[in-house]
Amino acid sequence: MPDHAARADFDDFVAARSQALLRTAYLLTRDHGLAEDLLQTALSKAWFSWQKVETRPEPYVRKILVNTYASWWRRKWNGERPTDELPEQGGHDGTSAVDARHDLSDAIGRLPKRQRAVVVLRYFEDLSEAETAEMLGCSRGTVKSQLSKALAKLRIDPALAHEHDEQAGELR
Amino acid sequence: MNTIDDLKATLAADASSVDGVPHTARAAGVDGKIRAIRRQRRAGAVAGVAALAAIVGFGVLPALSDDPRTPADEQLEVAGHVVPREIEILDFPFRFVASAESQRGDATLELELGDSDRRRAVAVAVDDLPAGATVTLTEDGALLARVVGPSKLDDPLLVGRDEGTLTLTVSGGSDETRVGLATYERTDELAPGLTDPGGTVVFRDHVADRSLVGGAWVDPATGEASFTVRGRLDEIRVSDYCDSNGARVFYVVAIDDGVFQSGRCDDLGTFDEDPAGGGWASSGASTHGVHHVRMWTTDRQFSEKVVPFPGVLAGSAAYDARPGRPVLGEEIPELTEWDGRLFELEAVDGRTHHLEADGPRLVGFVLGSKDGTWLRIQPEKGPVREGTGLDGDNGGSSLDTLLWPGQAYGLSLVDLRGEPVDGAILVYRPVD
Repeated sequence: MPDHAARADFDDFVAARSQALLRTAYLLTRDHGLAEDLLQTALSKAWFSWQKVETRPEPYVRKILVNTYASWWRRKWNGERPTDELPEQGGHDGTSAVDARHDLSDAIGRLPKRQRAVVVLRYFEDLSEAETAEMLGCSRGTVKSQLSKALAKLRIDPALAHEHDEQAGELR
Repeated sequence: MNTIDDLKATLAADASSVDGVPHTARAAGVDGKIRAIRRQRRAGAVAGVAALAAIVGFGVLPALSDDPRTPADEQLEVAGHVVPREIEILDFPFRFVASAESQRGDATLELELGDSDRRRAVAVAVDDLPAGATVTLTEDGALLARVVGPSKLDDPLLVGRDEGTLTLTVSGGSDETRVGLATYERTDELAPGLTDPGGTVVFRDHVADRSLVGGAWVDPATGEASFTVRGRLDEIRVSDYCDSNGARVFYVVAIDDGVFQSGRCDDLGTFDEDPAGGGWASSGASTHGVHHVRMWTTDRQFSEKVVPFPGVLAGSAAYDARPGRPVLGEEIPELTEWDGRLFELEAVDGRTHHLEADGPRLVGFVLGSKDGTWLRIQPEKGPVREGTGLDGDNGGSSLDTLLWPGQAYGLSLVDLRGEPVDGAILVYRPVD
């Protein structure tokens, strides 16, 4: 069992780094409440291995975070939130950069879980394909194919279609 | 627009939407989850052979009965109460194992438990307990239950499988007060439901107010299975079980050809013979109709390649949904299970609630503020404490605190600064 010093170190880590991890959690879940729950779950799991990872905990916690999200099997009713529900379509006119970003954001939210995870790790965390594969416990080939599928989905997403009529294929 | 740079900018902008959430609330939440994991690990540990050790300590009446060959027609009594030889907990049969009771007037009763490979339960009996007196049951110092009199055989509650010491402590008792414990362990029989071919695990027919509507076990020879369910996907809950038998196995569930969830077998919470008791997931999609659920084992996360693993036991089951009670936009279930007991929704209150009950109450709340909400619990005696907090702008509810009779509690909803916030307090009582 970790000692008091380890606990203090863990608490310091939570204070210092949890906000950054929360951003990733939010991009994965697209829900503030779920993101907080995911982050807290990942941190609590990490605590039980803290003495093994405390010299370099963040990649470990991030890995737990991503894999907990990917394999979030058990949601008790009181914490349960649908994660794949199609969001309401907003009344954006599609003419401004803000609207376009909003549409893209919505489209990312509609990606399947694993594709979304790959997009977040590659383009938000700036991980390499190899690092993303290691994080997800899969091959580089899987990362490549998932990323390719994700970008293809974003290209054909109905919310973005009007833009692609004019500027097709820029997401690649 | 819509280059990779736009994608990165959008992700960065989206991520910044969570900035400003204070970490102090998070630390409390993490602490709560760490405690929950510890509890779960203790309850889920499997070790050794089922055994109940001897009674130790003082104030113990030599009324130990642990012989299963005791004639079935012989009445078992503990602290003046007739104790059943067989009970059911969430439809699982349990058999009586042993009992112990104190001498009249004794303040403490202890019972040592050995390791067990089965779920077990304990029932507290009290007799001649004066008004205002309480009997507290602890396991290695951790509060399990508190009972008030004057005379009662309390509902059995599940206890862990590790070795430990159960202690009954009488507070405010008289010279006539007697207390006792009856212990039970699960039989080989399972609850009614979808049982695996080996008869060791079951998806129960009913979990709280939900009913089993479909399910299947993966054939270890082929590594896959499927079943169909009818209804709205967002009203269907899927529960899974996977025991890898030590192998590195991933389990994938797909609904209507879309991968729904995937994870390592070992990541599944182990609820042993009762996987549905551990919770479930919802797809969130609202599609109506007949849905095809397919499951398979594989060697990588989300892999669509079916890989059979001899010795792996995996399966999934779907449960329907019953309409809950609408509270602040949330649908709150009328029934829920907690620690082996079935609870029903007793009260929905505003931001404050005075609780004074003759039995346990499960309490929680529905989020009413975007700035975070915590349930503050002010016992009549003892320090203020706070349950798990929730924040976010998409609503939510939390139900995670069991309160015991013997004192009154002031419940209130507060924000991070301790200021009152809107929301609804939920109170559940055990179903008789």
